[in-house]
Amino acid sequence: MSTLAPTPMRPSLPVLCRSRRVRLGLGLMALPALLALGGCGSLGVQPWERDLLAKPSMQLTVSPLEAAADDHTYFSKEAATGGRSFGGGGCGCN
Amino acid sequence: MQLTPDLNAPTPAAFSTSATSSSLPGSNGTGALHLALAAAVTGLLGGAAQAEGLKVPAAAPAATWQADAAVLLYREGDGRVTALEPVISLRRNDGNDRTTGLRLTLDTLTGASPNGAVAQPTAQTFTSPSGKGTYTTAAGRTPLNSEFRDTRIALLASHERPLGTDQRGSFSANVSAEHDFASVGLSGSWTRDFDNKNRTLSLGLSTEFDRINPEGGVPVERGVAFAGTSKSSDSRYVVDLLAGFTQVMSRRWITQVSYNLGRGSGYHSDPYKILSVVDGSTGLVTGDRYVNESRPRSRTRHSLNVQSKWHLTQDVVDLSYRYYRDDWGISAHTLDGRYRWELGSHGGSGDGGPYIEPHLRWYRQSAADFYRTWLTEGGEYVSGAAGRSPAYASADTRLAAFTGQTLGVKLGLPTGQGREWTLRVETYRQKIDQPANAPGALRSLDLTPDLKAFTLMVGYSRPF
Repeated sequence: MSTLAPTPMRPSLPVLCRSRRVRLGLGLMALPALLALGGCGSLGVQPWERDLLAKPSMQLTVSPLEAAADDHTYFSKEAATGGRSFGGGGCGCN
Repeated sequence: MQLTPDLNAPTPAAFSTSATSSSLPGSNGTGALHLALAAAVTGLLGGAAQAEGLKVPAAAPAATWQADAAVLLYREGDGRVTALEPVISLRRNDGNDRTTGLRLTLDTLTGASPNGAVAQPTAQTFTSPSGKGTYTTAAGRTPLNSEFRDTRIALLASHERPLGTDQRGSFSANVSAEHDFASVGLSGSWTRDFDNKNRTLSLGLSTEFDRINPEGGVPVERGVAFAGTSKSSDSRYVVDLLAGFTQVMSRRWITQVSYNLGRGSGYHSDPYKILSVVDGSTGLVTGDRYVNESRPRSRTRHSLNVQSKWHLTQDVVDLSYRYYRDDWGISAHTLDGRYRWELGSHGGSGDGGPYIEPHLRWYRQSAADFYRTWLTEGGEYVSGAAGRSPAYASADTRLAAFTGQTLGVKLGLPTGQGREWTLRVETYRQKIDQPANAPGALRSLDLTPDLKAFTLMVGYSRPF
């Protein structure tokens, strides 16, 4: 019988993907993309139905200055960065 | 640089009186008044627009300008960092959907910043980064370098233009400078619309080169602190790839998924951060006492962001989630939610009433593999010329496991003709996990006090 104890280490990607929570999270995140790529016919609008989507309040980034200020602040206080825009932006704060 | 597709640019059939719309249609009228107005506007703005205007006066697109200005005040509790950041941005749309922008940011920082050393039951004295003075931390307090002072200036220039019918390209360049840091960056992105602009694919590439010139030179990594430097400066190179997919789900719902891969190589350590070497039983500083931190010379980051916005009857809900992971062992989750509560009764396609927008953000990160609140003498670290130290170690709490919570509210006051004042107030609290198994005297001290910060931001924007 082997006496080798399992070496504690960070789980590899395949192991992570077997985790129920991670799978659920990934699934939820990928849902919009899958729906769209699947060519779901009911998605989207006609050009004359863009009245609400065209409003400034419905832009994904309403205020670029606020977004930049937030990115800068969190970049200097937290380890995570990026995702929606290019991270960093030239700062010696991290 | 944001990957913000123009999915919602109004088509002529559904043109809205949006102040930030980037595609004001040309006048379809042929009357004398239109001609006179077009000539007057193009005359004022001059250049190519005037030439085009005179050639085709009936459909002459007029250039439009948008100005945004804001002042941010960020203040941490306990006499820590205070930042005052004014920013101004100007954008010009030439009337043919080509946008050129310039943004100038100033950042003034004062206050005190943790130096990485752990609190002790007695006062501690440190050499300042410049090596010209000392500062003392009281017993039981987290050591802060009170000489933290900097001014940063950053300039961003960008240009975006259509590339054929359904494609757009953008390019931006930025420079930023502090007294001990300089950075230049270039980025470009390409955006392609599909299915009547109902879905958009965006791809971007960004590069950044940083030069770090710490006060007093670059400390010897893992070396005894305050014992000299190895060189005057070091550098870092960062490349980011960004891919985004945006989908209009319905008339009231839009969603975006984006993925960011970043790779940095070069100097990643913080030249002003040190670690304490403590005795494993008493918890008191011993041996080499303080050593310079050391981080890997490369870092690979992944982040996946999902954002959705829903337009209710009047109000707008904005939810996003980000998963982050890097090869330093850090993973992080960020949840962000905003609710734009329209106070005026501006139904239909116009934005124009005042609004209040509560904001909640929750963030949780795990620690970097090499994060240490202290180093234990005789354990990972052995003092002296024949001693040993771990390859990488940092006590920077930004690499620790912690939870961050933001609570804020924004008030928007449109004043007509696309002009708007905004006022935003937020609080931020960072609860850092207390280290386990603190030895001796450290057990009774608050080794990782919470960070509390307050943000006030006033903004004004207007077209002209």
